Amino acid sequence: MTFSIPGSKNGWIFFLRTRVLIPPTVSLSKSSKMLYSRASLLTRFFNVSSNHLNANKSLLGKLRKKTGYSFTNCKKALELNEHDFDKAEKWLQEQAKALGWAKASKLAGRKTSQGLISIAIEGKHAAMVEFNCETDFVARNKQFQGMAQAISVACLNYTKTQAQTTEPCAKVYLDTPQLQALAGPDNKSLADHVALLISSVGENLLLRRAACVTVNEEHEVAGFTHPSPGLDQTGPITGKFGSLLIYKDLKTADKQQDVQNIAKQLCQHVIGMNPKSIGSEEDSPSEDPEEEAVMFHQEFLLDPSQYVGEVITAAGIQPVEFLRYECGETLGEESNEEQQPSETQAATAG
Amino acid sequence: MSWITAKILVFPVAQRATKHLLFSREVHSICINKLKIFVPLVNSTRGYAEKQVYSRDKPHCNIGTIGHVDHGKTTLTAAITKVLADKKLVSKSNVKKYADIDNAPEEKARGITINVAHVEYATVNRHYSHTDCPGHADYIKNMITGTSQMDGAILVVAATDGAMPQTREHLLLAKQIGVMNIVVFINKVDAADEEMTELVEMEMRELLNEMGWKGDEIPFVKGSALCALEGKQPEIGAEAIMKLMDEVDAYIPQPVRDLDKPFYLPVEHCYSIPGRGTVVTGRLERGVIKKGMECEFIGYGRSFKSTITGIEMFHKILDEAQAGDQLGALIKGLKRDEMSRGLIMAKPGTVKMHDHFEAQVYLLTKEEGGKTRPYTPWGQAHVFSKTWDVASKIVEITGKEMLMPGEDGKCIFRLLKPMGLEQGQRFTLRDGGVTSGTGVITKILRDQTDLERSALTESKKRREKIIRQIAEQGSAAA
Repeated sequence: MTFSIPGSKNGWIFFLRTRVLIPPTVSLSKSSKMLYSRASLLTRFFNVSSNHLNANKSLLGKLRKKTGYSFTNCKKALELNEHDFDKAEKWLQEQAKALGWAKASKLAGRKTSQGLISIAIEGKHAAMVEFNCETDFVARNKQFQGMAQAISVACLNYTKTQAQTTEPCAKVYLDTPQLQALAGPDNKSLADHVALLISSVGENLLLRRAACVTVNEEHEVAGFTHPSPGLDQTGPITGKFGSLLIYKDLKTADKQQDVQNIAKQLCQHVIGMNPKSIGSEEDSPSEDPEEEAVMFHQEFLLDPSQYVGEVITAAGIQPVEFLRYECGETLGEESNEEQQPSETQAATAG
Repeated sequence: MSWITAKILVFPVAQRATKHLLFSREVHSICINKLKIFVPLVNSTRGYAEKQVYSRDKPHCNIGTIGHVDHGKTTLTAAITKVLADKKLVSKSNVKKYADIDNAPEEKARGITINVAHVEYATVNRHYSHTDCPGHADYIKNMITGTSQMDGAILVVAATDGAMPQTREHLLLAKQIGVMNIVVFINKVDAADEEMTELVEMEMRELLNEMGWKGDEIPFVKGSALCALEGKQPEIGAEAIMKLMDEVDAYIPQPVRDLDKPFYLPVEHCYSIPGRGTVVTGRLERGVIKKGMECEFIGYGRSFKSTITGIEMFHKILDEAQAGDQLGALIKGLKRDEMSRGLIMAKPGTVKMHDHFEAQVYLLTKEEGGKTRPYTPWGQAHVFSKTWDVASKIVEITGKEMLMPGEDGKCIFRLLKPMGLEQGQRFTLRDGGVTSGTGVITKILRDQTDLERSALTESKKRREKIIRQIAEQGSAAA
């Protein structure tokens, strides 16, 4: 069974054309490389000895394209598995975790000041996480965004396992080791997922912190991230800033829709104006309006002609508490953060 | 005796000249640059080089490196300076070590902190300023403040890894900061074999095509920056670096010098000089002006033509002034009252007035002296550019609901009055006595209608009414 058409790669493409009945008029400019790789794969079966080198080369390319692992690793996989594509692929999948962990430990300790905040909300539960990387290029990457979303979903699932609360809201803060132990998609721990991503993007990544919030029957929770993702993003929202607002709907407004909208806008206000507390009418306004830290007396971000106090009264919203995360911000107890239990991690107010 | 003198004087020079003729690769460039190569070499033997004089004998070009953190951008930059120094194109004192570049010094340009390393070097043909930043935001800040607009970029990719997921983001950035030409350097070929290198090239060309670059035309150079730095394996070390610089010389086009552009002078002051007429002063930013040239003044919604009847600098009369000169120009037939600071004096027809544009903006953080509050759509912003300033509104922030201090973004500006402005012009935003941000105009949009302009000064409710009205008109017209 030898099909050895002597001559160049074009011969093989011609051979393929006749085999798969592509009309010869079809342009091969774009797909020719792909076909060529297929052709030389076929030569591996039909004509191994003469075309051995080319076959290996396209195998490497194919393996890289299929798995996305670095060329060095793909090559190693092929060498260890006697250039058997399927075996090599399997080996890579098996080794991926180990390779990821090796890379992760190599990169550990490099500074991670960029990243994303991701928020997942479902009913009475919400989770906000911070996931860090080294450069803002990676923070803009789809793979990284997907991972940040997956982490917030994992935290949300964890939140759902918590007992119902009678308090307006129950909060649990998670730190790096706790986050690493959480189960992510495919029943792998988040730490494993992160290690895989580290080997893919080649940067140190850090599961920095998370806040899990559960509210009781009377209260609602709203979330907002900035810059808000485009409309094409589905699932949890991501951004460089994130905020959660726990509020009570006093049911004085005409439409439910408006209340949710205002709650979102208040979240945006929290990100933009960075208030320190919610406050109420009893608090006296600060003398310098520029320095006002009590949310109730701040000018409303989206309409500076109104104060927040007026906006929430008009909308029938009673804010109870808010959380604000800023990506890469220095936390109060940064130096001993790694050993500290989680409660020092979040900047809360209320 | 005279023969001996001639021998001493002429021989070393002749020897060098022949060396250059023999070892320079491009014959055509020798003809042009023979003299230019000559002069610095003769100078260098004199030995008083404590402070070097920047010689303007070569055209200048700004380039930069982009790529993944571990793919060797910094090593490549260090290698370029070393290799060019070995070729005596850069003085030894300019050679940068890895550590010098890697601690990208924080530069304060207009109060904005940018993590950036600027390195300079020269090839036979050109003088280069080389920019290297660690992050996306730093490149954007560098572009906006205009310390050096990048004319081209070297994309560094390691043969051992191939393209990384974030390489897409690197290419998007290059588009965003206006880099039109890229040369790809495949690094670390000493740690990879030939087939890997070839596959990386194939993959990169595919990715470049996909991202809207001319992937099949972009030059690729393969080598090892580390080998070049350590002086090993010259065929992938030093020679590859030289080849890379040849490609950069050839592929990245020469930017037009300011001197060759039509003239452009933002008016700083105007005076009325009895018996002579009206004089405007300012710095000639581009081009050359001569006595008797036609000129046009534009700004604040007005434009008028005139003739330059005299040029003065330091109280002396000039026939011709060049870009960079601070001068006074005597203008024919215009009254002092008609003139004002902020007008642009330019070659008729070269500068237009606009009041609606898109710009890339960076807002200063509190630490950089900016505000703490973000900008939201329809926020007030006072725009300062050249010598003019005008009130404006940021009507839209593309893809964002607001712009936080420390963030950059694309904003649509509407000015209350049309001003002389053009793409690439830089401006500052000020608010309540504080410089809140800085930006660069990326696109001129169509002029506003009177109705649209009236919406700028109205309250939120009236404004929304006008916007609805405009939308209805639009749909009726369609």
